[in-house]
Amino acid sequence: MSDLVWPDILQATWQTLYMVGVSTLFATALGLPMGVFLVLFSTRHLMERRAAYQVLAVIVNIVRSVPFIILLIAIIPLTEWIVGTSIGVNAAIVPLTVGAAPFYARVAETALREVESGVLEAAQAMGASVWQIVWRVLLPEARPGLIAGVTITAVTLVSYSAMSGVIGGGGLGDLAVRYGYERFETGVMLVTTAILVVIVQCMQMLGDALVKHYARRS
Amino acid sequence: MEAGEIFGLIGYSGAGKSTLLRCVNLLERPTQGEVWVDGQEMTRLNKRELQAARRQIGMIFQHFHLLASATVADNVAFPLRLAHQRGADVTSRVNELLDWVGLSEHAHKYPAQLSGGQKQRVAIARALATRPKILLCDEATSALDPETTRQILDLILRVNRELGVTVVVVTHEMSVVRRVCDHVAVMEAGRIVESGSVVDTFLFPKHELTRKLLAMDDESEANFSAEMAHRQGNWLGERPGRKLRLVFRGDAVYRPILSEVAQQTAGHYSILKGTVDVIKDVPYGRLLVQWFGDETTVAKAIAALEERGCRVDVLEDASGLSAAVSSRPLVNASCQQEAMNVGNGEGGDSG
Repeated sequence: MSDLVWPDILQATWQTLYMVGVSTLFATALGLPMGVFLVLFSTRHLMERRAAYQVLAVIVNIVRSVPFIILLIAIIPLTEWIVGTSIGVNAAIVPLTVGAAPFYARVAETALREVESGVLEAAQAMGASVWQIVWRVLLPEARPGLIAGVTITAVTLVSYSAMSGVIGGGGLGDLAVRYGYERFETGVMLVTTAILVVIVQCMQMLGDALVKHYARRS
Repeated sequence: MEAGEIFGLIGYSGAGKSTLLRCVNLLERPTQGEVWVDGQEMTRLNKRELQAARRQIGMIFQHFHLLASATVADNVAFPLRLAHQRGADVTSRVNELLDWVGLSEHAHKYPAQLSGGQKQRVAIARALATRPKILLCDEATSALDPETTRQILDLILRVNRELGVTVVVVTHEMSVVRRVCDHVAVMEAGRIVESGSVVDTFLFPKHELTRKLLAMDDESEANFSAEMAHRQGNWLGERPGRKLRLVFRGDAVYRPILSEVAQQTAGHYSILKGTVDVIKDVPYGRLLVQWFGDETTVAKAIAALEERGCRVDVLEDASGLSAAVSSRPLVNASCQQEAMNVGNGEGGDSG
């Protein structure tokens, strides 16, 4: 393993952290409202709307079923329109976000459904509006599950980000593929993979700690 | 329902009592009909008006439904914050309420750290936070042990007496009704089959279902009958006479009715079983006696007892006593029909 590789590895580590961090943030910001609406629109919930639920569910399912590598290329026009370019780390954030948002939406939906319907009903009986219930009951009560969902999404994005090398996104995964897999540099492959393992491990521990912090109450 | 009273809705599960209760604050929207609460027709209110109206109606539940992610204090503050009240007002009101329900020292705990009874106290404090005029209790004690049930019922009585809140209690336990309610409605398959004051309903049940529910209570018709069957063929069985069930309430409980009547009719009696107690400040007595003598002697005694305001049922001597308590014409089919029309309170009339 040549010495030249070390700066590359360092740079790739930052790229991975940057891509995963920013796209986790955006995916959560986009996915959470989708998850909330998936719950609110569903049968016998606060804002039952069958048609709207179906539309949202179908969109989520379509995006989730498209393989990420295809999504990456398919939305290049969107990426160009948003970022101005279709190459680079910033360009990779768009497909990562688009791919992960529906994923988080489903995870959030599951977490939000765990909130006892009786608690929502109690809030309704106290004269709460739908949005008061969302802000003051649904989201706080589901917080541990929502945070766990963010962790799962971030970890998933780490492996997604490996594919962003296709559009020059860089990152550790890309490095592992290019040096380790294509050039048979086992050392680079092992080191980059090891760093990825450490990153995922740290994210999981952080997430678990947060969940534990908020869940000790229930 | 009258303002300031505690009204009970009782029936088996699935009878529709919770549904009826939830119609009061429109958690359940009736498919037809009107819901009048404090001079307002609830189904005609728009969304905002309904939210405002709901703040005047507190509600507690079997499973408490507290916010698990909020402290006791925050749970009680919740309805106040929903109503956009200010910080200092919220704090002082929360302290006042927690003090009132005796949970001040638990203010910063989370619901998971409390016992069932404490959780229901928090729920009651929360329900009272916006100073509602009405408190709806949906099986509020059904998840609690007997001792805790007693404490929570005492608290509900305090809510009613000290704060003047009208309370509606849904329960499947007659003991709950007997302990706290002024009036009661018995429900079956979505209909009210009998209603009236608790004392009258308890002492003079008209509908079959009411009797069944009473039979679940420890002081039951079933016990009455079992007791009777047990006594067949003993000393009593060989003496002429009739078994009478006597029910009296109010002042009659304290007057020496039995000995007066015995003297007047030169008769004798044995008390086989009996209770003298108080339901919601109304004293009542319920006795099973053997009145000795031939038909005329017994008839005279019955007349004399009824004259003194005592309700008398002649029990059959036959063994099929579980159906029991048939007897004199005052409880017959037509009477039961009448009982289905709400509010036929006085069962103290005699045939």
